[in-house]
Parts: sequence; structure tokens; C-alpha cells
Amino acid sequence: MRLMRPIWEGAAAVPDDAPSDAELWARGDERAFGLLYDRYAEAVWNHAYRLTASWSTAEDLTSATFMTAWRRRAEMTLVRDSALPWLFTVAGFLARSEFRRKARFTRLLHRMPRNEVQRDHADDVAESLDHEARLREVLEAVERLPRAEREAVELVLLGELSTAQAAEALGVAEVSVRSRISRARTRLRKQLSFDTLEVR
Amino acid sequence: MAFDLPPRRELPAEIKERMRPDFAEPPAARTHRSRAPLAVAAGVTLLIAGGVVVTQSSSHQVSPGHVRVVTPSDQDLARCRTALEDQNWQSTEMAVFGLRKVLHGTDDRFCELTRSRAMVAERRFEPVALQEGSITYRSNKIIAGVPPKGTTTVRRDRVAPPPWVEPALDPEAFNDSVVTPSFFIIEIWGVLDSTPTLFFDDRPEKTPPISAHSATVKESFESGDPDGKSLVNILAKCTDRAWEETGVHAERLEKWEPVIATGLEEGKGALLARRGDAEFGYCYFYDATAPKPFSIIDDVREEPDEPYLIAQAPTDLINHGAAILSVGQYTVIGRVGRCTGTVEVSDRDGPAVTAELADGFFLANVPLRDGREDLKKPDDPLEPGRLHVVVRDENNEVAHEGELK
Repeated sequence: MRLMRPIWEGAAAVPDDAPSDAELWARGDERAFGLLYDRYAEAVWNHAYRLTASWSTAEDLTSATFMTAWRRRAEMTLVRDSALPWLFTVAGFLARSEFRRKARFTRLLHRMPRNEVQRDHADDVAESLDHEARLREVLEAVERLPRAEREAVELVLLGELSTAQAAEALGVAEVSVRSRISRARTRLRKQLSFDTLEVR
Repeated sequence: MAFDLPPRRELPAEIKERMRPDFAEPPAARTHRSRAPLAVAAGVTLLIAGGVVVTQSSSHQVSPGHVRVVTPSDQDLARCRTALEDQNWQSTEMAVFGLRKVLHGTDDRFCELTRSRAMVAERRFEPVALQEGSITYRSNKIIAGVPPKGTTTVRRDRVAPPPWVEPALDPEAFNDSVVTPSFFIIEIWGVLDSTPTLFFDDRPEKTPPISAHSATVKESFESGDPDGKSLVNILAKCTDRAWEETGVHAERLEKWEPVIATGLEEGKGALLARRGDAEFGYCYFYDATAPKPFSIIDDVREEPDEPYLIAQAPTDLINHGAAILSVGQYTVIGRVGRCTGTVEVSDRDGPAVTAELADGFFLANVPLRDGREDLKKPDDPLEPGRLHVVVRDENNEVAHEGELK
């Protein structure tokens, strides 16, 4: 059986004869959404971490993202090939409205940054904490961006979607996404101690 | 130094299963969707965002447009007659979209009302003929006209809700319409292109270019007070802006009453408003004609141990050119105990001003100690620690003195 290339690193590869995301969405039953979850849980979980800088909050956010998709399935028809841009958009909405505040609160509660996914090696932990601290700095700067730019940054720079996918997700022209990203980079450079936010 | 995104991790199986939602729901829950307060028209919206088309659930009962049509009040009629400069204009049909009302006249002209404005078609505006039907009114938020015969639903193409709007992903709340045999009205959130495609019962109809400035906008107040600088009308402008720009639900903007203001005479300051005994909000005005959107204070602490700052904004700005702003005063809004006698606020050891005080809130226009200062942005806050506050009790004894945090 040939495997399709995943459309996003972190999304599970699926057989080329497997039903498309749109078909699964249209079926709308528990099994179909279970398959969508299997395809994109890892991608959404990683994106959720980049939106919150907290692995435990990322778990809650991932669950909430898929639950939102499930609850709204009857009123939506997926017209794109991939559900991922929309899932990322949902995660962004939820992160802003609820989960980022929760992550901040959780950190305050613990009085120090925590890495909720334990690693054995001390260097790994230290490196991870450093990443987490810097990610928080980035997120705080991103939060200060104008909304339109913040949306674009979350999808393109943090989510690593293409500008075309982000444009679809935001319902704007691709050129608008590009200019928002450009303006956002300029602002972020002024705010952050490092030069810029790079896409890996 | 560049920041690399955190590397992606492989999702451990136990975490994956721990996060897996329970994709099981009673069948009834799939078909019933509660509507957001602003969304009332059924069967009229379609949205494409994130590659998702949002349509009305097939289980929805399609409400005929006339169910939403009400009779305008005498005051609504009077405001429209003034805006149209036609005291004989008649209307018996009005549709309400949150804080916006649209009246349909017996002569097929439309009149759009918010709490602080009345809008009508410009005199030179000519109705735009469609293949069937026509567009007779267009503003930056409303398209209205005569629908093709037999039309039961109308919508526009590709409308995405502003992504910042709460509640998230409730697109039906932000694209609304009404259709009757004699007229249709579509309310649009966000930016409307000049040639939208309209769908009458899902039949697309590309419209010719129509400027969003085809409507004449005039000050007109629901309060009945013609003074645009009165507190109640500044509040009306603030709530209109909040409704149109921030996406707050209309019901959250209902029944507010102004309480106190600072800087009203100078036209530079802020007002405090109250709803009932427990809800408070505020807005700034730089000049009374252009106030900022109304903000609701979500977390009101009762009897705080010490005064605290709720909000601050520069309200005396001079623009020196492309990007240089000078500010001479900040307006601060804070909270103290309800039994406070007076509150004085100053910038460092600059001149102290006595704040307006009501319901445990204080408002003050604080002049900057060193005169004007340049700002990088019009909303730059004062550096922490600059504001000094002296609170006196009802006996004029100093109850607190120190930095306003």
C-alpha cells in the first residue's frame, strides 16, 4: 500500500486510497472523526504548544479543538482537501480566548516554568526550559501584535502553514497574509531580544 | 540571534489517548444549535473560512423574513425623516440587527439607524438593477433592495467573521439578513468589496460596482438629545463603535447609563457608565465627535485594600507629523473603596488633580509634570510608578498615599 506524503510535518501519513478529510468530515460519525483525530492529533498538539508554551495546556487545547470541530460538524462542510488549516484556526481562537490565560495562570501557580513532558536527560530538560522561556517571550510579543497580524503569525510562523493555506483559513487574499507577516516581523524584531522569528 | 521554533515532538501514545475527545453525542445535540443573540435570520448565511463552508443546519426551521419585521417607533421615523429631509416619508417596516435598525419606506427608500447616526442613500445614488430585483441602498454595513420575486433567502458570498470576535467561530452571529416579498436587507461584518455576489435562494447574482460611500451619514441620537457632546450621546457613540468594531454582543451594550466623566468641557477625557448596580464600563474621548469603543470592566474588586489603576490613555495628543505625537495629559480610571472622600492624582511630583468619584471609581485627567512628552504610539501607557495618588476618607484624613499601581 502506497502512503501519501503528509501535508504537514507531524500530520500522520495516510494511504492514498483512504477517504479524504472532506469525506470524513461529511460522514460526521464517531469513527470518521476518530480517523481525523488520528491524522492530526500530533500536528495540533505541537501547534497548541507553540500557541501556549505549555505542554499540559496544549493537551487541553488539542482536546478542545477537536471537540469544537466535532460539535460544529453538522453546520460545516469541509471544502478544502485538508482539515488542518481550519483546526489550526480553531486552536488559535481557543488559545486566545481561554487557554493562554490558563497557561499563564498555571505557571504563576507553580512559580516557575515547568516542562510537563518529562525527559530523562538533564540537558534535554534545560534545553527545553530554555525553549519554553523564549517561546513565552515570543508569544507575549505576538499577543501585542494587531489582531490581523497576530492571526497570520500564528498560522504561518508558528503553525508553519503556507501563506495560501493561511489566506484560506483567514478568508483574505494571500497578498494580505504576506504583508501582515512582513509588518509583524518588523514589529517583532523591535520587541524581541533575538532578531526574528524564523521558520524552520 | 534568531529564534528557532521549538522542535516538534512525537506524540506519545498515552498522551494521544488521554487527549482523545469523546466523539459521542446524543443525536439531538447534532441537530439543535442555539443561535447567538445577534443571529436571527435562518437559512441565510454561508461562510467560507479555513476551507470550511458553514451553512445552515438542515434541521433549522427557516423563518420567513417578515417574522423579524417590526413597526418603527415615532422616534425612529422622526430621525429618518430628518436624515432624508422629507417630513412626509412613511415607513411601517423595520428590521433590527443588534444595535442597528433598518427602516424600509413605503417608497422603497431605506434608512439605517444606530444609536448615534442616521444613514440614508446619497441624493445622487441611483438604484442598481440586478437580473431580477435591484439594490437601492448600500452603506459600509448594509446592502438592501428589492429581491427577485419569490425569494425566501438571501445572503452574500464569502463572508468571514473577524477572527478576533467572541465567541470564536460563531459566524452566524456576524452575517445576518432579512428578506420579505418586497425588500431584502443584508448586514455585513467586516470589509465589503464593491462588487459582492449576492445569492437569492442560492442563485448567484454578481452586483455591479457600488461604492460603500453611497450613503450619507448624519449625527442622530436615539436619546433624543441633539447635543453631540452630552454624556449620553458620547456613550451612544462609544457603544456604536464597540458594536461595530469589537464584536461584543448587542445585549452586553444595552441599558448602560453614564455616571461621571472627566474632561467633558475640554472634549478630552473619559466617562464611566453603569448598568444596574454591579456592572461598569468606560470609554475615552479625544474629542466628543470621535470617542473610542466602549469597554466593559470585567473584574470589579469591591473595597480594595488600596487604590488600583483600571485603565489609562493619553487624551491630549498633538500630531506633529507622520509618526511623532506629543501628549500633555493622561486620563486615568481607577478603583478605591466606596466610602472614599476624595482622590488626588499626579504625575510624579507634578500638580495633583482632584478626581471625579462615583461608586468606588475615580476618573482624572492628569497633566504631565514636564509638559508635553513625545510618544511612539498613540496608546503608549505611562511608565509604571509615575502616577501618585492620595486618597482621603470622608473626614478628609489621608487613608492612602503612594504609587498608583
